[in-house]
Amino acid sequence: MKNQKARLLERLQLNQDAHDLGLYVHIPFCKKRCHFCAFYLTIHQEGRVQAFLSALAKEVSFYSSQARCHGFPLSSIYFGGGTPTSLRSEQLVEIIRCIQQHFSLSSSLEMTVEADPETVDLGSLQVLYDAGVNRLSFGVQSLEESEWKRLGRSGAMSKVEQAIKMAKDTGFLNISIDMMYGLPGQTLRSWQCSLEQAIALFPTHISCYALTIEEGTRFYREQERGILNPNDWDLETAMQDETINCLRDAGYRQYEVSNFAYDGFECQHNLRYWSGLDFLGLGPSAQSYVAKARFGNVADLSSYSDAFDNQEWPLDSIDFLSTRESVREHAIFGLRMNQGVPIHVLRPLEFDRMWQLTVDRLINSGLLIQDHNYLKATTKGQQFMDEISLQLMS
Amino acid sequence: MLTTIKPLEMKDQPQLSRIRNFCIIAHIDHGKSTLADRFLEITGAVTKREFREQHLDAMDLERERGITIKAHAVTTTFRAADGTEYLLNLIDTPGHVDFTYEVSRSLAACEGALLLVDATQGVEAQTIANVYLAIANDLTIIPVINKVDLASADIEGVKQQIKDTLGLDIETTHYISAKDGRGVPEVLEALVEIIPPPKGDVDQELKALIFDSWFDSYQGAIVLIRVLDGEIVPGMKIQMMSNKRVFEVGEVGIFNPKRTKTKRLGTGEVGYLCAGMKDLADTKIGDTITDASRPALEPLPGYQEVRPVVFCGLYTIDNAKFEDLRDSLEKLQLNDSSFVYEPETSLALGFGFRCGFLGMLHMEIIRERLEREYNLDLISTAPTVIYRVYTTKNEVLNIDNPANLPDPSMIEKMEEPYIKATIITPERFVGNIFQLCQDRRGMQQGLQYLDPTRVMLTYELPLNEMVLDFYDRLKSRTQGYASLDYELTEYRQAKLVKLDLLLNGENVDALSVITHTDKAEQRGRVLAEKMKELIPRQMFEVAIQAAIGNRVIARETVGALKKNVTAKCYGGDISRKRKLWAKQKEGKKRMKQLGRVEIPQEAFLAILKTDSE
Repeated sequence: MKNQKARLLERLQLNQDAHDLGLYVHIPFCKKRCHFCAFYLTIHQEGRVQAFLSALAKEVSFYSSQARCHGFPLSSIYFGGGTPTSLRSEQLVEIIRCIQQHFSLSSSLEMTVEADPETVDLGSLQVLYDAGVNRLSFGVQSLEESEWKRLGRSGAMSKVEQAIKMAKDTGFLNISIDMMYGLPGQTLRSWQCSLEQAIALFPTHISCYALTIEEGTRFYREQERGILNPNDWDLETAMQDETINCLRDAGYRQYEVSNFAYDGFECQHNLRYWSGLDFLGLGPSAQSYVAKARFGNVADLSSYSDAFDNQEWPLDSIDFLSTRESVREHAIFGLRMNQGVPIHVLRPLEFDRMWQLTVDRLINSGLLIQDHNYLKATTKGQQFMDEISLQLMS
Repeated sequence: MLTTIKPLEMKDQPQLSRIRNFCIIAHIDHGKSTLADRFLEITGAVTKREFREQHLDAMDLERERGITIKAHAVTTTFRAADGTEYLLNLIDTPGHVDFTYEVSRSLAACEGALLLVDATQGVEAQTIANVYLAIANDLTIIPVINKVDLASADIEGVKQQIKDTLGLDIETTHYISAKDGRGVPEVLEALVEIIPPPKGDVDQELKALIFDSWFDSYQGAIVLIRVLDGEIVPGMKIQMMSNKRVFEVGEVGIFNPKRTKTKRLGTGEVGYLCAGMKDLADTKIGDTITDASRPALEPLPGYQEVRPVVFCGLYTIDNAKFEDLRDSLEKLQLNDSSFVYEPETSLALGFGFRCGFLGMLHMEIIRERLEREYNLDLISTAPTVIYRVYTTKNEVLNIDNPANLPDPSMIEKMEEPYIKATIITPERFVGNIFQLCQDRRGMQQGLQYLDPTRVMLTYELPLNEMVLDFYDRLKSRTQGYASLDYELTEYRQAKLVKLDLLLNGENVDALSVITHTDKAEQRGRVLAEKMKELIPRQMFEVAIQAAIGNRVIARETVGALKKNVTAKCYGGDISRKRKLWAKQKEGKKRMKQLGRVEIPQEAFLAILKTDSE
């Protein structure tokens, strides 16, 4: 690991082939952990926040001094978590100021904050707006009362509509909401209702995720004990079809497996993940992809904070990708987008016989299609993205 | 402190009267290796320091399974109480039912045998079979009851069994604990006193019996022999009596237990020879070696060509590894001439080999060694026996592969091999065994109480009913207590059919089996159900059919996968996903692509199971 870190540092110190960068900031605090959530977080305690903020400031400063990271202005900043709005808005602004001091920002910067409807008010939204935040992403998941409760969420569902109205009143144009299907007790009908209510809020962007029961979550433990039934694939497939149709009719264009937006409101930050572009993750458990290296911070707040006090780099994984590997991954994740992957990106794999055979096989099975200068997934292919990815990995 | 013995550089032929050649007959776990170790320790062949537990079981696999696959021979000296020094040759015997012939040749190299029985377990089926072999070879047998120190030892009961079941004289019985060594020196004393010295004539034409051999990459075959008449010295020209080939002896010697060169191997002695033999046909177990310039008139009795009785196809999951499989089989066969192989092609599996084995355990051992020592991922087809098929054109075909079975309209009649099986079990499991043998078309021949709690059953069974999972079932239905021995008897006519498995309408030749008409339907149903469990959902529906000819007898469907996509895939998810896929990619390597359908390796193991237990 020590050698790996030295090697990574060497790469970050070169500004050769530097690209613009998207910044992800992981805020590891929530008021309460939801039953489906497997992200790294701790329950919000004011006492823990200060140590986090000071470590984060050091991390910002550290990366900003690397040639590879400050060559270009930042294209996007994304505050995720946890619940970023579990911090006071002044604390969030302190982070934003710190980033502004160390990095130059693109004039078309997209700055997103994930928000819990329960934790915002007109005052705090105004503070964020004034600090330059121009996109809000509300975690809603469901607009059916019984489902909402079953998720273990804090706060009242009635707050959702209010929060979105306040955001609009503050001046936020670009508002996204996250929805989930395949939830315990959810029916096709109730999902339709949730979707319709979401559309009625007129967000510019909607993400719809099928529930994935991950290890470490309460749902996982319930499933192990037989309290929670495993996914009903047929129902989920029907819900997925319903989602695509319903949102299309409402004017949202699907641009990725789980993401829908009015034209021009696609999330620029998230597009980076699927387009093979560099992103830097800050905060405990945050993952980065810079200079063909994937690396990630330790998923533990105190180890993360302590590291900076001891002049250490809190990474717990580093992977260097070869050109072929990076192109392969670019293709695999790029196929999640409806537009697919530009053919020219795949040129380094031109003479990889296994790759070509696999792509041909997937095309013949009707899962992929070559359309103009893009390789992309067919409608059926979109439902089997993981299988396609697995085959393309081999 | 024990001392190593002096190297046996005997200038003169030791007197025959001072040689004892013997073996130990024992069931698995009854303490054979431990007793052999005590012998080596007491006689000083191995010092405590260099002692590796259980010296005779050299191969790891043997160690793990607790069975001795290959025979070995160890020479040591023992000074008896009367002050005479004896040369002891302990010949180890393979400990499994599949190796009866090899056992018989090892026994033929001895004058005596120790019958070792666990005082807590009693006489087992294999022990009985091997004692009968020893009696047939005229060996003097000394009963030894082991583990007498254990609380559960039933010394009197076991003694009675030895008397009643085997008809042995129990006057000379010894009571020992091989583990702590008590009673073991007395066994050595008895051994030199009771077991007769070898007979033989040093002036007669050379006759030496081959009872084991293996390959050394530098010297070719190393052959273990027992000299019955005459002597062998380096430089001499010898002849193999089975194929008349002549070789010049390069080296002779003994294992004490390290390999040690000697100047000669004389009458009555046991040791090894190297003569630059590269071909397995020249080192056949049971063959007689004679002096090429003064050959014996008759070979030693009892020699047989070893013929495999159980066959299966072996394929690598990754077709590109075919050549590796060929190389590995070649290397393995050098040290185990009893299995045979030849290339075959399966429509489903591609290029592979049809391999023949002495029995089921032998097959499992070879397969496991290929996977473990040669790092191959293998698929094996269902094991099969050799069927005799009489065609309407008056031909007789020997069929060892279901794929080669002629169309039913071309078959006049079929015959299958039968065995006689001996099973020893605690009385309380007798009902379970009745049931099992009846399910397997067995016919009971005998039932005998060995003592009030243990029963010996004899059955006639078709071998094809046994090659599947008979042994496993027997063990599971008797909580591991039953023991089994079998011998091949004869071919009998039977109504047999080929059962095919089809995936999406395509016959998977590697999953075809030949089975009795009465059992075909049930077998087909179980097979289809098992496949349904094991074949994962794919992007399309997979229809599973079991069929006899054109008649479908069972049908199952694996529904299509509806979707397979991670909904959320951002920075952190990407890191996790790529690691997960890398892992799954490894798993995929153990899947076999049949047409469009991907089948896990386990599905091929399912045909080795006969019922839904």
